[in-house]
Amino acid sequence: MSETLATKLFGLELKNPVMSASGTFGFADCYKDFFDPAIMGAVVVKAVTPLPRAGNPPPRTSETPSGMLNAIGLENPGLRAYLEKIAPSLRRIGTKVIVNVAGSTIDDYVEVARAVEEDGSADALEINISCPNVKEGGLAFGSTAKGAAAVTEAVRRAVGMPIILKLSPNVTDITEIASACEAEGADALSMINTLLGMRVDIKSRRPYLANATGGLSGPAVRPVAVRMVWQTAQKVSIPIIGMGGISCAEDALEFMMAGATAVAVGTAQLADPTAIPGIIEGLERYAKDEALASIGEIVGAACPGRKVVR
Amino acid sequence: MSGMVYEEARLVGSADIAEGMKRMTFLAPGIARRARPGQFVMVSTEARGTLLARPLGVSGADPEDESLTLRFAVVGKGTSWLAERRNGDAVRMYGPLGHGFTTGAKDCVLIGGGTGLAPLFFLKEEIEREGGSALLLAGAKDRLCLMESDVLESGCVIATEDGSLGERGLVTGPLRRLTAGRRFDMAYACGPVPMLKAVKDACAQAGLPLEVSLETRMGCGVGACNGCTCDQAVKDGAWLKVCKDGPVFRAEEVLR
Repeated sequence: MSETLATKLFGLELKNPVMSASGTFGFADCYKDFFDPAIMGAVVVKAVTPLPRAGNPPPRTSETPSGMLNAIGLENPGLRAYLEKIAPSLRRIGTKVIVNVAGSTIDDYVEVARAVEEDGSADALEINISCPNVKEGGLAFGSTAKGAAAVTEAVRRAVGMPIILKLSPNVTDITEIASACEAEGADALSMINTLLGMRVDIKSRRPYLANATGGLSGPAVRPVAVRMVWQTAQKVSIPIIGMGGISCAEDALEFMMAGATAVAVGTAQLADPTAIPGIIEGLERYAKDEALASIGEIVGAACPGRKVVR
Repeated sequence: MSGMVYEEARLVGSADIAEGMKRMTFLAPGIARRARPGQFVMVSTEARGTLLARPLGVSGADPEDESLTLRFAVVGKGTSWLAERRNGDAVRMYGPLGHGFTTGAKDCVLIGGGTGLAPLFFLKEEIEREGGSALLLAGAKDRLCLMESDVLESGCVIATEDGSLGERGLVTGPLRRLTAGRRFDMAYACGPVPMLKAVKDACAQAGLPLEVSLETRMGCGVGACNGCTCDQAVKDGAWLKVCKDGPVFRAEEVLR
């Protein structure tokens, strides 16, 4: 593997800037037959909450034009099962591990963050203040600058390891939330989580999803995500991990040129189990064709005001 | 041989097998060598605006000639796209996925309804290959909706709701009659949920162990997205994943 894709992110040395998006890669155990997760810059595993969560009743997903709606509802086995059953396998994975942390209260976030830090199974935490599919917590914090700041501040005080705040696009001005997170000590931002959407089943005349609304992801949301990364990159000086509809290297490059230091792949991986290795190869090809010494050279290229974080 | 593979399968034959139903045979060496009855594949489509692959049950696999057979109903954009492929066309698919049927019992009865018959063709072949016997009971709304009716007419028991082929009524009619007079070792069923529930009752009464295959829409097919939960598969308050915990379950675990 070439060094061209090596990416530094808040002190972590990543092999390349490509990660899985939380909630689309299980606990890194689902795609092993198709590729070794060690090829990725980092594995972002699904949300962990203090107690197990059963998630929402079915139907939970629906395909939409060039996208999909999901309302899984943060189904996960809980912190104890994570520490006992999942963490040991993550330590052996051969690349950086980022654990997504979710909760209903600030104390929930702090509890999971502290436990994962003490356990030593992760290199960074992604703080999920943007899940649109649970009644309390999540988006309740992520939809205001004040709520986002409160979670960031509490988790920052609780742990020394890098924290990434995962932001919701379902807000009036995402840059305001981003700035609030930066001010309270966030090391990076993941953006964006899914866009709140809905389908109606015209046969039953009822919402299609049991949860009525769900999060829209996939190629359909990509231009929205690129725009938000671009706007935010001009406002903050912490790195951004860009995501939202990335299906190929060209999509990843759009995000990076808009100001993202790294990218995450979600829905595309669900649709094609070899999407992630394909994107890494595509970036390598691009860097070679463009004679780049480092892929970081293109970060923020489309973003004149960027205080480039490479 | 275990594991999943992603491969470009080449279509080598297709046929209309009922109204709105297709049989397609592909050259798919990796999947054909690994597939067991009851497993499924995820088929990528290039239909406009679609994104996710489509889960289709394996209806036949021959490791010798490396062929994979799918039988399916054309219900939406993805399956319509697939149905329009011509011989020689390449179709991306990955699999085999999920837990299949447990074989090994000697005297078996297979109950299929509608598109649920698809995996039972493969199961029947496998049971017979292993030296067991497999009696297939096939149910459908009417003659036109019964897949492969000409094949099924010899050696299988057919029930149609309107009596246009076989006996009139639901497939549970002949099932109850047969299990009352004969001792089977194992039953397998695939079809609509009301049929599966009725089959479960009939098998419970006959003291006959039953495995059922459930169907649901899926996101990834490999257990990553947690999108394929269904009302019928719940264990200890947790949703089971149809893709990974199933699609074949012991009847007593599911269908409440």
